[in-house]
Amino acid sequence: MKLRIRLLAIDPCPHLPKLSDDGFEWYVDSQLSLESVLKGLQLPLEKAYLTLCNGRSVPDSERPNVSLHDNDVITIFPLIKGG
Amino acid sequence: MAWQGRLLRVNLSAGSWHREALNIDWARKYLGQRGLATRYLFADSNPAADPLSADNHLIFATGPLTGTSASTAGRYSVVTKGALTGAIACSNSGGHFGAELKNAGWDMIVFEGISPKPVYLYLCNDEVALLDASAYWGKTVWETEPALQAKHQDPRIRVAAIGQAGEIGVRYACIINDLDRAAGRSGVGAVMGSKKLKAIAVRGTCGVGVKNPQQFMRLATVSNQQINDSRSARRQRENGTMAMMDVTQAYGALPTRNNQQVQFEGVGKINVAAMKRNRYSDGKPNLKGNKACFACHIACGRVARIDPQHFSVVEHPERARISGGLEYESGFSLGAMLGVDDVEAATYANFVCNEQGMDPISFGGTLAAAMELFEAGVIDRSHTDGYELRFGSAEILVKMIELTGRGEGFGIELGLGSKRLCEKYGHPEMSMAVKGQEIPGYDGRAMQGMALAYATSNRGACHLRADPFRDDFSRVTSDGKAQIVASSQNDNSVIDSSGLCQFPGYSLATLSDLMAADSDGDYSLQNLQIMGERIWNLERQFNLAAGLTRADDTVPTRMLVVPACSGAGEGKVAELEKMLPEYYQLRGWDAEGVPTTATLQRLGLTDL
Repeated sequence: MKLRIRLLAIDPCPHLPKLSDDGFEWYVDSQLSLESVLKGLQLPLEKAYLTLCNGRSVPDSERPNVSLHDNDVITIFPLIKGG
Repeated sequence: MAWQGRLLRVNLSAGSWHREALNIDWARKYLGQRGLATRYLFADSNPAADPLSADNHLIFATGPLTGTSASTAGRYSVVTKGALTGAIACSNSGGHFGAELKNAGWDMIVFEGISPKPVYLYLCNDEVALLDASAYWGKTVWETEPALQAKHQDPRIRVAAIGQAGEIGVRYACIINDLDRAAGRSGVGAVMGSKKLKAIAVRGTCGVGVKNPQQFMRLATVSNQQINDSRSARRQRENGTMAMMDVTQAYGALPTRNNQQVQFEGVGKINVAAMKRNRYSDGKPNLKGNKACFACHIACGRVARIDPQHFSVVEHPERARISGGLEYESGFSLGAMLGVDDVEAATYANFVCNEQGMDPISFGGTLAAAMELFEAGVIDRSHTDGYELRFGSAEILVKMIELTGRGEGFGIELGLGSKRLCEKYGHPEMSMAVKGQEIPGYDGRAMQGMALAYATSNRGACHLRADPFRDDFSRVTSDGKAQIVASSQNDNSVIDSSGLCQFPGYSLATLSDLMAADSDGDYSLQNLQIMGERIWNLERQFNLAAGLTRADDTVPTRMLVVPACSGAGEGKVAELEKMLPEYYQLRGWDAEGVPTTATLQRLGLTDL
């Protein structure tokens, strides 16, 4: 299953494909939940971070239950405040 | 203890001043800065007074930690009745001015009355002088600060000043210190201008003591190191607050074209990547680096230089200089809000805001409203000096910021703020403001907690009074927001009264430890929480006395009736009718938003 991963405001991740403005492609087993995919990415994040699936917010408590589909877009960003 | 124990009270009408002992009982009850200054304002001035009259006071206030070695301990606040809002105004600024004021031996300065001629206040420790500012009236902040440093032959003098915008009464004029740090919101600069007070120039060498220096140093060393090493600080150092733009864009909460949309197709030309990208013209990026305020371990401040070949600086080569660059709020308000995708033009407008002393959020929100009025045919070129006020025009942005800063042509109307402008032309629904203050860079339909935070903010729409960010970015619902907003409003009231910045994310527990080593008093976690609630209710009482009502606790009509057209909140409106009664109940207020007697008694506010 092919996903598109978009990382916003996250430190550089040398172990992941190079980011373009539109993120990068990530191939995973079709049975994996969002939670498992996030773990597999090994992102340099604090415990608290936020995720969108196809532009819709996914609370952290629901990540283990979210099943993914081919071409889904996963957006990941840390908790930040603007000023 | 960290208080100097005295304030300076200046009567501008009489041209006199005197020292006054700080009310330590109040300092222990309202902590400092935002809370303490509001208590003084409530006691000394008439909340119903015209904000631009002699009866309104203008207070510069430090916190108990200002000037200490705790990370980010350089904050001060300007507290007054806002010229833009007619509500309590508390504008918080960083840089070095606040710490310098404390180091000069002063906790606060209270200005009363109106001077018959332009003046500035000079402070060098115990030396106090109210001096003629006629030579600086009509000058920009960027001209005034170096001129005062040269006059007093000390480049270490720190200056807080207004530009022309404050002098001519732009309703959202702000006070700029250290050239590009701002007490930015609610029109505190217009109040300063109405008093004919051009600047405060301060030099301090007294030092700031604390109650238990060894303990304080131990605690500060640990927390400073944690802040310095945190991922969050590294991100803010690297990208500044502008990192938020990609997030609000992805989420569908980026106010675009006066909140007619919530995502901006040109975001890639005004975001962090755009600021860092090498330009075709000179091969250099807009972003030059970052900088820190006093004692800060984050250094989120952006430093930028406009493309020397950009059309905006062709006639103003003096502005092709290095200065404070775009932060998220200025980036959104001078970019997406106007449909402008030119990072150089937005940077130019931001420079002019710093130079003339204007709040870019309110300027951008007002110009966006004017653009909508123009495109809807409500106003035309006969109103706008012949200019086509179309969304997306960088040329119009550059022209209008100059006219507004100098108070010329249609710029005079833009200086009214969006509420007064839209009411004048019979379309109040086109103003994206709360209590007359333009909304920051978060749309309240995808971010329901932020909608409630805007509606209930005592100083008008504000993104820093509450902290609903985490929950808002996790779920689009109004459930549970009242508790999150009320609780974080209390916490932020404490931080804003302490002398510290919100960005390190200090917990009240850490603050409690620091305060115990800093000053005498009960700074237990429980008491700090009560203080926060007390400060919030004090501000509420000021607003009620000023004539505000439940009707002012709202958000722009557009957010209430027009569903978001895309993003996570697509199809949603701000569910304020549900959240507001819950919020009032949690606050211990009646159905009209008035604190009950029991609430005032519980918080020790019956002496107001």
